[in-house]
Amino acid sequence: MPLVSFGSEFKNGSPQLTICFSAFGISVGIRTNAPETVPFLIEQLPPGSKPTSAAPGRVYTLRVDDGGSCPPRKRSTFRGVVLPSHLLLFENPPERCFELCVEGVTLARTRSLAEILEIFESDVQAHVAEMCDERLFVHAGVVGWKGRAILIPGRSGSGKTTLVASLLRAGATYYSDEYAVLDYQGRVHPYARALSLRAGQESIRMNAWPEAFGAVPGTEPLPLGLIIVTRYRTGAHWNPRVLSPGGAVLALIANTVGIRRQPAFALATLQRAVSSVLTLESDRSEADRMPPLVFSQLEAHMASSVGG
Amino acid sequence: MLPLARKEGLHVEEVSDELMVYDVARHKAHCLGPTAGSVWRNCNGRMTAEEISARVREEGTKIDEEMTWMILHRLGKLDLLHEKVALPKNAICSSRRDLMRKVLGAGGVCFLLATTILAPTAARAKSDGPRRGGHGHASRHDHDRGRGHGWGDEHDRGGRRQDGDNR
Repeated sequence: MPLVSFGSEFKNGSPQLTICFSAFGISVGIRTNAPETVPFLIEQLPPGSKPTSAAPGRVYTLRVDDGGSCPPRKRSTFRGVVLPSHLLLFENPPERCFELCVEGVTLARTRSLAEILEIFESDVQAHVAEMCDERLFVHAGVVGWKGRAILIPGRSGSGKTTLVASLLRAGATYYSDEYAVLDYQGRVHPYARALSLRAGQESIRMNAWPEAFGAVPGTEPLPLGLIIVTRYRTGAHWNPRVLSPGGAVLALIANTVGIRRQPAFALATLQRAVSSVLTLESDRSEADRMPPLVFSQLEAHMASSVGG
Repeated sequence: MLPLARKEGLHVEEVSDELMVYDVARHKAHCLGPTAGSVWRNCNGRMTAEEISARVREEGTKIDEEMTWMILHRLGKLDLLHEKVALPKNAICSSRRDLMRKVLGAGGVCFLLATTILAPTAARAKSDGPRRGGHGHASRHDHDRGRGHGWGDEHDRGGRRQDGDNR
């Protein structure tokens, strides 16, 4: 089955390419008049995406034109890739304009392909996360340590990707920097996309695979061992307080994508997930100081659980 | 009208000794502490506050009628009762200091009462896209973006409105 096929629709004399894929049972389509953007779009799809012939429930349209009415680019927007040995940065040429629409709504119109890709990635992953019936998606970073998952719920800017990267450098296994994917038993599955790091200026985003931190990706679902409710604050001291199981569920609900759509499934799943978990809440300072504190807390909890 | 717990439009899950209640219409998630959960479960429309208080004590939870009224009042405000409870004039006659002492004696605010958050929309519970620096159209994300602090839109905390401090 071809991943990319020519559709029948023509716009301004240009054929529209149509891509259909499925991730976690949710099918999505993409149309574009710029075949050269397809490899970049595919790169943004959720992990495990596969070509499908199923009718897409949501169709994105990426139009590329000469940018007559496109707003000028006010800043550089780079996109980079971190490899174990070096760093790649690229930026699209500014003479073209990209417009991304979905269901009649313009998500963005800009001269920056990097920006379009970022918006597309964020939107398509959120759509899959919201519509999926088989898994519960909690916005969180996840690593594995000694057979247990450490989950760090939080929104963009809370510093969870930085903390995940730090835990990976200290020997943890990589599961996700975006979504904790929970099954009905409350186990966490890998969501193996590259870590999305902001470097220096906010406009520079770099994708880094766990190998760049000397870590390996997890392959098996793990039971939850530790939830860390934290955010970066300059000068903060890690002084955690233990949240009750109910408090843990609330902290996860606040970051659960499909909670409004399927609250019963979400509540039941989260209840199972927190059944034997330790939940700590505190502001933190530099991420590099955290791994020994986090690992020792989890190990002590595991030891007390076994002992108890 | 005797206190009657609302059941319809709610999803309830026991988590350890707490009760998680999700209000489908209001998209609010409540975590009822053991005492509040026990009171709520006994609001069957046939018992007075005094009787509920006695029943909860029989179940092993330390509570008096004054605390029961506080909880009933709070449950009403959270729309977890069919009708809000009007506090009788002398329902709460202890000083604030004595009330605090009672609350602490019952295990603290979280143990006694409830914590509430507004469930996030799908757009809010994800990483933001790039900040577009004034160019391009506003995306759907912008309409949904607000004071993001990772705890949902509304965290029912602080001052007298607050049942439990979850941070």
